[in-house]
Amino acid sequence: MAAIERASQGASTVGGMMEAHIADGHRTTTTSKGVVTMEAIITAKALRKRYTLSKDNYVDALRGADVSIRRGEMVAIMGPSGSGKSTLLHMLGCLDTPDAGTVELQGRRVDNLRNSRINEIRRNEMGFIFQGYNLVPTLTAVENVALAADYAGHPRKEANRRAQKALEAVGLRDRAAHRPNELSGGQQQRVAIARALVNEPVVIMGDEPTGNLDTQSSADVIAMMREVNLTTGTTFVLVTHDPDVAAACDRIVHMRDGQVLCEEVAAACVERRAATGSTAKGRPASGVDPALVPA
Amino acid sequence: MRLLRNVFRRKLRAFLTIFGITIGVFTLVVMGSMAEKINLLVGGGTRYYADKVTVLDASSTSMSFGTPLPVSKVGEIEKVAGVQAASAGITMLLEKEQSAMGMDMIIGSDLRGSQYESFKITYTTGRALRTDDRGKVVVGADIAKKLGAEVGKTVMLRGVPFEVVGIMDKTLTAPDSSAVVSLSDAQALFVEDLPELVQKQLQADTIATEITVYAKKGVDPDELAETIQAQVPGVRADGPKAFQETVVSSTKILNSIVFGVALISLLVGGLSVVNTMTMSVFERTREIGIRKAIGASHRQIIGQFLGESAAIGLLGGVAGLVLGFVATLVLNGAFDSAGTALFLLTTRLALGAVAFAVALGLVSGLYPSWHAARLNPVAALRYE
Repeated sequence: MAAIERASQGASTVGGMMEAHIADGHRTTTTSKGVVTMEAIITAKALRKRYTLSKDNYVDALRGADVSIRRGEMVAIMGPSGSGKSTLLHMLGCLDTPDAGTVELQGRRVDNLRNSRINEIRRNEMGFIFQGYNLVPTLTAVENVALAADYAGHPRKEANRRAQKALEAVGLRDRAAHRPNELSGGQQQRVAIARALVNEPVVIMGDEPTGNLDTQSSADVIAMMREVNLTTGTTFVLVTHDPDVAAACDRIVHMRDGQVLCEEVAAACVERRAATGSTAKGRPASGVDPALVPA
Repeated sequence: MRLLRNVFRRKLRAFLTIFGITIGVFTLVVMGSMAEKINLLVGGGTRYYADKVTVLDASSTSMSFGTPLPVSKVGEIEKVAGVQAASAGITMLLEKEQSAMGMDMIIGSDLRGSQYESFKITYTTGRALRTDDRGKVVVGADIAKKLGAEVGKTVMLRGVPFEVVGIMDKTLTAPDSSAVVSLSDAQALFVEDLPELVQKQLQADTIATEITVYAKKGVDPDELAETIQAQVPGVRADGPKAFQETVVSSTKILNSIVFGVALISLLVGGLSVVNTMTMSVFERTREIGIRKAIGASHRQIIGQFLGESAAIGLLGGVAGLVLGFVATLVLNGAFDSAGTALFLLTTRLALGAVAFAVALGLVSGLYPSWHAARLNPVAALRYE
């Protein structure tokens, strides 16, 4: 119970921080009735990726995967090990390029861009959360968060201000000066979320974001991501094995053998949405297909 | 500060690498200081000899004295076309037996050429030597220190007392270690030193060790030297070119050796920077992956690692400079009793040495940073 309380406290700070950001409205696509439109933010078609291990030993990680991510939704990608879910996430997140197929981000092809353009997209439009937190060990929490803002071209002072704010939003203001090895796993992952948020991306990619966390910290992190999603309209794509993560999502994409097997709407999510959706303050684009929501 | 934190992530390795550069820069600074001092001396010599011809006895080799020549040659030389004036002089060592660092000289001059002299001397205290001065001496800055000379006091030159009438300003070249007396005083001292048998055959006031010839305006001193050699029998005449050829070319060789040794030691230091930075990139593959995933550009990654290797160069360079500076101070102090400073740490050498160390750091960091920037973020993130 304490964990949930803590999480919701953290979450409400996220909401507070992001309100101004929502107010400018440029990322929300709500209609006059408050119903979310169905705009695809990322569309991947027929993605293929082969990893060559040696001369005649290779792995086809993706064999024609198609997936579409809608603006504002929170999607889980699930599947057994080796099903290609991480590879798919890397393609969607512009961390890697496919051998064949196309990836469109907000209507532009991104699979065939020059490196410098891809870096630009990664720092301005994407945020990443990893299983192993992946913080730079020599930097303090606030420096880790500021690093992303720094790379995005903000001056040192502004980067620090943004980092402080993002840390505050994840409830870690008093840990700002701590190095990663002085923080718990849950705290490190919250720093990583702050880092992913600092440039106000349109999509946050998570690769097993709760994979290294205990139940309590997991719940904490899941609640936080969900709150960010709901209050800011930031799209989340999460590769996960964790049923709790999947349950918190709007939609689950199942993968097998490098292809998308099927999609389903997370039942718990549907229930929760039905119960709370109408009361959510400043509710942003959720991307949930209205047809899928029970009347 | 973040940069330094990264450099000192592995403290011992960082220290050793920086120390490698330090040794290189230290060598460069100490040996370079010696070369600078020699260059300055030679530079002074070049300036001194630039417009005059030195006439020695025919038995002399270039720039070394043979038997004395008669003062009467002055008259013969002055008859040669293009000669403005000729001045007889005696140059001899201050000490009878040459000591290790003893480059101190007694110079006797008839002062006939002083009005044509382009190498101007100024005086800290006292005055210049006059033609009619006897038993009087003007001393250079270094030799004054060594002899404890003060204007009005008496100093001993080869056991003979002389009254100090002037102390010259520091020139950083030959005059600093010279004691200038009248020609006749010098002749007396010179003859004193010769074997008795020779003494009897010589009249002190007729001998000189060299004659300095001042060319008329517009006359090339090297051509004049040839003319004198052709027209005056029994002499050897050298123009500025001879000084250039013998002294300047040999200092060039010395300079190459000195800087060569220093550069080799720096090169070794540079290789250790390459090694350290390559190891560092290797160890931090995952971190580079993180940085790339959150949007670092090639330029930002290259900038980071180049910054780190430049910092290693800078730290090593500054440490080497400080050590080298202390070493030259200590060594100059040790030789101070001889009145000769052997090392001269110039500003250009100091700045050059540090700049070179930084440049070396940068060059050494090029490959490792380029390698880091090219890493595939997914592969780098997977790296354990």
